[in-house]
Amino acid sequence: MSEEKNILDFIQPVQQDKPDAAYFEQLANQVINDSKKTKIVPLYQRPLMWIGAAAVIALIFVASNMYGQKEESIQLALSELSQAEITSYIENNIEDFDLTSIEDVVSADAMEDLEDDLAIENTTETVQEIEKVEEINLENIDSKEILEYFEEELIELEDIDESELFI
Amino acid sequence: MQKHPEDQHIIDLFSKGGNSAEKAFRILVSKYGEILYGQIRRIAKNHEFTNDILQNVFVKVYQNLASFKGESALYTWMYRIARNESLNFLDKENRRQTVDLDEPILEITAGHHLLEDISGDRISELLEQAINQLPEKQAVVFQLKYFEDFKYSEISEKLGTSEGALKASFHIARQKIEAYLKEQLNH
Repeated sequence: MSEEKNILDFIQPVQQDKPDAAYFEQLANQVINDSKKTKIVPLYQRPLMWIGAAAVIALIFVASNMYGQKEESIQLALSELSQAEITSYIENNIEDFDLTSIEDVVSADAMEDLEDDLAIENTTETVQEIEKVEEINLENIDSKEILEYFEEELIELEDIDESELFI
Repeated sequence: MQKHPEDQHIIDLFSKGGNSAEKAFRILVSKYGEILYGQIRRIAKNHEFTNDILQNVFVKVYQNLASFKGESALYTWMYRIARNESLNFLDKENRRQTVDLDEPILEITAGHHLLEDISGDRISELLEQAINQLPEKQAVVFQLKYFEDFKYSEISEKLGTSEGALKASFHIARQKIEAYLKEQLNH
């Protein structure tokens, strides 16, 4: 007879004790207070994001210049480059990728955000941030890490407004 | 998908920022905290871990609610965050092996030959695996109906889905879970 019943009919969940309303009120307050201490910076304003995006732009330039191919072929060209070639090119040409270069491929709004970020670099707080950024080894930032970062931050790629991120 | 008016109110209020956002967040925690706590507790198995994970979940909710686009129900979105946070938390440092169980999550009643020689912990583990293999919507419906014992009308209100569709989802979820459990227990 038991075969006619679903096996779940023989497995009953035990009701767990749950905290009272005061616990959840305190939890909400704690999250709010913690978020005030740590200012939440939108993703597109984070230095790491800009460095990653700049690296992607640099790679596109590498592919375009070295192979002279159309955009549709860039993906293929990138896959054929070795890490050493990419790193070498970036190191030799990084100074060519200035704000003007980036401006060509990002929206005006995104550029304003970037310029705002750069404009406040004289403040004490930002100097500390920049020092940290300078310590980041560009060789270690690849697209996989960026995608993992998105996943960690629960950011769906399709939800990203390309005009803000320009990648 | 129908949008739940109270959820929409929370989202709208949150988008105003400042004190309105804080108020919206408190409403959200008050409304969904207990359900999420139960969901996480079934995976984390004790209050201490559940507390840590739930806090992480709400931090992420607070940080990302402004960008929530309503493509799924608010609870479904938070369910996804809670599930990911729970699994990530337990995977780190193999905490799963060192969990100090507070109390059993499931009770096995006599009558099914496949369940005669199996521990509650093992069946709990298999059930968790089975739920994780379900499509998200079915997993959400199953959790709310089976574990939380909500009425279909209440689930309908939370998820913005018709009761008929929920009944179908729950039925299919049960069938899939049964198939998974039988396959595992027969080995």
